[in-house]
Amino acid sequence: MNTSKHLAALALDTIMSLGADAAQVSAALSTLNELNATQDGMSLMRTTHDTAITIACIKDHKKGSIAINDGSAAAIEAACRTCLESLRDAEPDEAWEFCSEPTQKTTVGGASVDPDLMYDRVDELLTQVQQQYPLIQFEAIIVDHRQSDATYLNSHQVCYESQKSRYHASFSFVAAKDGQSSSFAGFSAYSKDLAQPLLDMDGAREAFENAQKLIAPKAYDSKITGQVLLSPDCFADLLFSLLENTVADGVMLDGTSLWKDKLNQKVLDNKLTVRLHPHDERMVIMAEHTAEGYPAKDFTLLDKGVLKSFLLSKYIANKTGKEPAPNDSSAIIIEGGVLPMRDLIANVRDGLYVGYFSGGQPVQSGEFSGVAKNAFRIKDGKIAEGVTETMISGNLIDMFNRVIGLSQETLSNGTAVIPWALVDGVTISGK
Amino acid sequence: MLPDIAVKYRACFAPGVSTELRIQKNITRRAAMRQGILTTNQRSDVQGVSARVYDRGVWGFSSASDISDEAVQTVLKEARRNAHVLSSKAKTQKPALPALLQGAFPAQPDFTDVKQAVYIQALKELDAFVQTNCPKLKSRTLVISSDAMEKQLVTSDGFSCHTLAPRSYVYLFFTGETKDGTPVEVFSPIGGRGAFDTQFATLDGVKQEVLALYEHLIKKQEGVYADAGLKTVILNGMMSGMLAHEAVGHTVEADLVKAGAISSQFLNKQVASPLVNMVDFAHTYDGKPVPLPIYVDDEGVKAEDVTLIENGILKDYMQNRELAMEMGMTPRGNARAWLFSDEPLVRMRNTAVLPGQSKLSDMIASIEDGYYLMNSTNGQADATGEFMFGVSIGYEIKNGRLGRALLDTTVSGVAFDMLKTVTMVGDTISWSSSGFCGKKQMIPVGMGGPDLKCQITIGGR
Repeated sequence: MNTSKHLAALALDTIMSLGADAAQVSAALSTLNELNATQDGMSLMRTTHDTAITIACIKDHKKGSIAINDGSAAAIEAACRTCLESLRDAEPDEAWEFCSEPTQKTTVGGASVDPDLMYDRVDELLTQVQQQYPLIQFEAIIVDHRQSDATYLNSHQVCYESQKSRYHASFSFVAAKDGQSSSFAGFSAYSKDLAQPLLDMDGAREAFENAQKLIAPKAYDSKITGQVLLSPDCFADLLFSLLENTVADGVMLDGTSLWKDKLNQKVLDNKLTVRLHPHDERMVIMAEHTAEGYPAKDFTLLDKGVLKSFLLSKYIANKTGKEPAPNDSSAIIIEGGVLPMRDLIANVRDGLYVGYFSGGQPVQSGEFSGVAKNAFRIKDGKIAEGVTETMISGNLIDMFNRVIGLSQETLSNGTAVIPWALVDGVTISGK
Repeated sequence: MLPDIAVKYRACFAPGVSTELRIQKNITRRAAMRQGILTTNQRSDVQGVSARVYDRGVWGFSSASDISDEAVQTVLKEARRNAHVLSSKAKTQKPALPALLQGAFPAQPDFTDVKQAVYIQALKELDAFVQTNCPKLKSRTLVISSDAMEKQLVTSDGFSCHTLAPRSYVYLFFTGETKDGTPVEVFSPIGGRGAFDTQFATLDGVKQEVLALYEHLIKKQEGVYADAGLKTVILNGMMSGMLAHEAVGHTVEADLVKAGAISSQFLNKQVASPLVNMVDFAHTYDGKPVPLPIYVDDEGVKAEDVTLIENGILKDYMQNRELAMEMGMTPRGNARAWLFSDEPLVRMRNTAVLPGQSKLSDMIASIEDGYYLMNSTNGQADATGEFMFGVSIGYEIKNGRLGRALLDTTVSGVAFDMLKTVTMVGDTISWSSSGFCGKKQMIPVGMGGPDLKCQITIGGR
């Protein structure tokens, strides 16, 4: 029976024997068991058996890569030949490299699949939501378990092996009553073992409560520039859009990043400390290495608003003369602030709570505009009626330099830990 | 080309249940240059076999990444077992799916799997052209992407088929800056149906688009913010195609209708101006293939057009077999899966607003104060009919003439309110199939439309 290590070793030996100067191979064998349900009950049980092999090689300082899912020796050899052929017309670039520090690491973790538990948890959720949130109608409930056997090998004796598994739950739903409905709402979280009911996963209850309050929202009837409370999902989404446009590979390579010379300088509000900590115990999904085979290390991206690192791959780091990011995960941790949410918004006379942002891609200047979804007016320090057809716009750099506070409460979904954020300087407008 | 083997396994299907067996291969070829540096040089081949079985109201599915007799037998057995286990636990007793038209759709012609060297050479040629002809760019990114889905499907109830759907695109991303050093960006996808060597026999068309896009960027560098609020606009063909997809299309996918989308209340009611007609095309429009022709869907349903809106009246939903049975409607081939390991979902195919009678010049001349919106970056829809899409290229219209360029903005509205404001429909349709539609899985989609004069909420300052 094939193992990921066998496949990875076969692919690595093959491509090196065909003449690569350096190579890396990632191989994974995984089984996904997935249960789907709708409002009417169970709908689909799905099992997938997946093989994934990615081969990258460097020859004469030129790089090519290929991904296949056929683990036969013939397919691997054909892929290796194609990979080498694909780089022939590339330009030589000495910046390409794979990790050359010999490493051996094995990680094991996660619970075996329990299909009966998955069924019981979904059945339990349908029953509990019907009782406690009777206006909710599910479009889909999906609970899955993935078991993976994965190996990374490269030609410099770097080897990571992992045998891991995890559960994932996601729901999409509306709340409806008397012919009116809320917007679609969703929830997603990872779990190591499904030990708790799905309804008790962090953020699930709030998602259902908010949806029920958003049936027949009112049209927003004014235009102001003021304060907005961002949900954790919205906060993370907008912050990462900003980071993509300021510290990531593309904008750093072409020199258009507004922060390219701002390492160790204050770029955002001093209330923002952002860490990428894949090894935090709250993280269910974690990669032990970067895409180029370097060991993944926890690091601080922003420390009280000061930029401490860029988010660069080793290749772009070599091109720009800057340091690579110690990991390339999205395991973001922003710890909570001092005040509970109700106190954080106590001084907001007229503002907005935004569940999620639906808008055009924010641009490099930081300008953004879009629709505030699953949104509520904040009036006189309290969350008030739900609103519809409400747009928010502004500049992300300006907005994240005007953080009034972060909530004490955080949302932890197995891939991130994020608080609610109250920010200023956002234009809120209706029809 | 996958060997034609699926049909021989029909004899292995269990009696009394609906079964689909699909052997599928997806290929992706991609190369990208940023500032003249080849940053991406990738090829991907993903193939496998899957089976899906319907048993008394629930589905069982299984897939494997091995195409062999053993893998086929394994997935058939596992899909049957999953369906049976789930049906027994859930105690479902729904009837069998209604019968389908049976037949076999002939294999489509193969296409050339172009070598990576061709993509890299094309990038080099284009990059050199951009460098020479676009001297004021701060940055340039050129991406070439080709993908193709090849499927062999055999079903117990419906059509069997062997289909191929390649598409190829060149994407241009240009960045300039305003006088005060603020970056501005523009983007354009060029391409369509077909392998790279047929879609781009020469790069002359792409070079024309490079020059046009550069001109838009130069103007955008002097751009202004839109005035926020409800405005009279002309959406060009690409934008009205996005409108058809986001604002209407998603709300009339039967799974979202059942889940509570607002269109559940509007069947056979006036939802748009009588000038608006919208169709989800299967494979042909005006005698020519649409961007992503579908002849048989992944449930074995022979694909036909779905008229969504006729003279402003909502006429139909896009279905799969199960939902069509529940709703007493007809499936017309909208059930599609992205990878071999994905189950079919209700998806749009080639969703378009139909052209009307008006000339663009007359439409612009009719507006005293509004906008002409030309290019979208992304979009999203909602159960309530609220939609949004990003706008990266647009112009003021003042006193019947095009004016200053707009900086990036977003438009939104509620579909069935906004469509009632359509007062002019252009006489030429534009098609696009450059992106992916997201749901539980990604999938390529086509979209199209003419210029549309309407009122829409625009974000700005």
